[in-house]
Amino acid sequence: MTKFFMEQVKTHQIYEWIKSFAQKDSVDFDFHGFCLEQSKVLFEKQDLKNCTCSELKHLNLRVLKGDRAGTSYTKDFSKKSLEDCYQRAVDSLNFSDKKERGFLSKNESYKDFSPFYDEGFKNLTIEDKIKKAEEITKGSLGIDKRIQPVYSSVKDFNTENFFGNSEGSQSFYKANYIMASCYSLAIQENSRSESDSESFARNYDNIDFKKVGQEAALKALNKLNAIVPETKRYPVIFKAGPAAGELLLFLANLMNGKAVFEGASCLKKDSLSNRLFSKEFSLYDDPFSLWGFGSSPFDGEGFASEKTTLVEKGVLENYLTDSFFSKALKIPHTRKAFWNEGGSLNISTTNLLMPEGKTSFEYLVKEFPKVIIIDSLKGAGYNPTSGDFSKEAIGFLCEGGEKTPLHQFTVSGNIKDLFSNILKVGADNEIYAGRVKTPSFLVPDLMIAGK
Amino acid sequence: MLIPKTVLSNVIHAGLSEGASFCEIYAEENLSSLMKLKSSQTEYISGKDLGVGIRLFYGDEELYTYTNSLDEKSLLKALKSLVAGKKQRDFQKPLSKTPLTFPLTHEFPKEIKSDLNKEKNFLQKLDKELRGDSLISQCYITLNRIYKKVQIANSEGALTCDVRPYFSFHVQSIAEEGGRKEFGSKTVGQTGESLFLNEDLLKTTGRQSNKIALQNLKAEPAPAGKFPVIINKGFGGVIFHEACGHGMETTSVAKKMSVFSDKLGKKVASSCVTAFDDGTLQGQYGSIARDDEGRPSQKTCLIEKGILKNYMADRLGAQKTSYNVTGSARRQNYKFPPTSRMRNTYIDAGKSSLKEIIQDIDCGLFAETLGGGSVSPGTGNYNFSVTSARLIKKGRLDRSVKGASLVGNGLDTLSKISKVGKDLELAPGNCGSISGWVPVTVGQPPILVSELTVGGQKKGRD
Repeated sequence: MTKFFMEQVKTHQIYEWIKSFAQKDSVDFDFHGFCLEQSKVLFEKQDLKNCTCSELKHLNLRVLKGDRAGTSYTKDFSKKSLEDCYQRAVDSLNFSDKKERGFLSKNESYKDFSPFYDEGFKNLTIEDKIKKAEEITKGSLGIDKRIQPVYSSVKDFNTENFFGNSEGSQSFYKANYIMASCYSLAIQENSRSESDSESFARNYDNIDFKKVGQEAALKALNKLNAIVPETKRYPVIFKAGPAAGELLLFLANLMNGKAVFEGASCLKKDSLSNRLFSKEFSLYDDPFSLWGFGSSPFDGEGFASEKTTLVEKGVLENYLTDSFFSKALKIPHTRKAFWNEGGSLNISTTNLLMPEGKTSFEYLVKEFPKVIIIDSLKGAGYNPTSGDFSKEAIGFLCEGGEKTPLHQFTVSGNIKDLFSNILKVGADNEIYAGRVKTPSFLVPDLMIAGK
Repeated sequence: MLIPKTVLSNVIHAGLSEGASFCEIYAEENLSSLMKLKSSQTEYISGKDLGVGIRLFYGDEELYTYTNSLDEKSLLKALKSLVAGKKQRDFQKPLSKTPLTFPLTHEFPKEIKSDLNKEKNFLQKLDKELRGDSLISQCYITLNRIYKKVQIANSEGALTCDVRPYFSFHVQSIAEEGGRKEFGSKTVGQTGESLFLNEDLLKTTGRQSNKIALQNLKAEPAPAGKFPVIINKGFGGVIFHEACGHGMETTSVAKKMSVFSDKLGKKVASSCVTAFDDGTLQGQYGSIARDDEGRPSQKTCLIEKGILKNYMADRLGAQKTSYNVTGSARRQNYKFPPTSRMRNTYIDAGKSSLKEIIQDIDCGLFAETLGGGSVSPGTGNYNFSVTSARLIKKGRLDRSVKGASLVGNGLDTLSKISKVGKDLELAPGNCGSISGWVPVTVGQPPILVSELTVGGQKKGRD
């Protein structure tokens, strides 16, 4: 990608303009912005379907007066547009009576983030990226003739994030990442099955593009001629990757301090420091993982990021908080403020990490004579207020050394019960969605609905 | 105009100079205003988004770039970055040296300003009313207005300007008793020039949200297994949207990805099923005067008495499949090239009353309100969550159950629709797919599916 964008943005100039607007009204402020260069190549079977290059700017601005906050956002970094954005934030202050002021960051010391940016990846041309996507496609279609239309994509992101506030804090960092993915469909007479695979890195050399395609194809082939399981209770293994990762993301949402404070989570403030889960289970939020694309040296309020222990051997240790909700709940400030593009300051995980256990996946499967392995979970079906879930699942039934593919079934239960009943954790960590690293885990008894 | 005609002409000419067979510029300005009420406190956020997407076709290949800068220099730079390194293709077309002349002169109407004080007072009054029930512990109310200006120009000389105001209102209620907590939610949405605060409609929406939360508080865990299932009117239509609609978009039909590929003119559903995708319905959330390629919207018959009649096609989809374009090209915003997408999709009214549908069922499930769902177009397997439900015992509605989900296969489910009610209702939603999130409506009268897998925590039929 040619250098055409980042150099134009003068973050210090933006800071000075906003500071001058705010000084006139004697209000405090903070802002968080980013510039993003992105490219995406999408293959549909052997043909290039779509190729996208983009440049994007965004700035979220918050003004603070007394105990009130007003926010707005813009995509235009000209002085006029920023002034307009500032005025909208002030108007919003006047229409809001939400008292959600925490405290502003000051004199923070940020970790060096240079390992998270690889300058070299920008030397690749669009044509180079098209070839990488072609490699994925060939990898998938070359596995077997039953593999039919395939989507392969290569995306890269190059971001520059910046922050400033009226306490004089200013910071920025650069990061990049690359994502390769493949969706394969296998067709054999009347049976159709699909699967996908993905790989993430900060350097093109660290991705085996052909392997991404091959993995998706092999997974799809393994699921051909799937049957519907009988409706009853089974021991269930949630496999490392999509299945286990989805459940961890749901659980982490319940640990959001905002949801806890507003009563939207089935977890409560006094749940902290209690053993709610299996002692086999620990969970961390780690903003400094090289593998994770949620990594950042500071949060949305400019506080230096920290690794947070959410669960340690079954004990709920911390919630995800920003400056306001830590104060409101009187619990530790874990620095997880996050701006979304719609101008709302929220709380979010960075990268979730569930440590591996000691049991190999093969031994996990042998723990019970009959066990269902869930490979992926689909669709809606989570209730955060009760913790109940009921989700479409795709996987296998393992019995007597035989592995039969399953489809069109659901797994249902309660998320707190599920994590309190984890019997064993696998030694097979896998990355899911670029933000969750999780091993497989075994739960002895869950309701499966099929035929 | 968001971009002057001369700039459009120059950029399109530059696109064609790179060997493209077609060039399109989509510009958008989006003013959003969101009033939220949580924990009885109001929060108001407004912001402005703007950007441009440029699309080039090289035969069936599509190149796309987008930027937040609307000036000519930035647009040409973005275009250059897109084609940099890409080899010139064999199918170059001779270039026209004649500047494009766009016939349309269009000024966007001024944004209709809403009375924020009035809206704030209304939300506060409604919040107070909804919290009047001692079991309701929390209410979240959001009122969202979007005023979107769109300008689309292409190398065929077409220029379209459109204004798309959207209004949506969402309530979520949490009910609590004896340490147990459940939630309910309800959404309304509309589009059109004259959006107003219909206080009665919004109050009803809030009360329905409370009712679902309170019903779930008393509900037992849903049973698991195969049952006859009545899927209620309104948002129940998400079943057709997910299970069938996505498979009828040329996005998945073009490469024979969909289970509906090559089935035009064939029987794909029970004879009692007729279904449409209609972008022309006045004021509905999925209605569009023009699609995102600038074509007028249409009413498209998808299934007539069980026979597949049409697919939904955008320009590229039509080019690849030779099916007719249906004014269905849609995208979330300038960050996405358009693809074929649904608008207002519904199963048409049949003849049975709800009572008549229920009375023949010995043991089944009435899925009263539905949540979100998803589908795999390659297999046709779908799922969606049921946010409130009741058991059916011996031809009558019985106790409430909670936490159910439904899974099945689109073609299989269509063939198992055995009764279609007469009471058609539409409901708004947001649909996420390859070109992002777009506002849609789904709809149907109550329908009976003779057998469907219900996911729940409890085994058995008692």
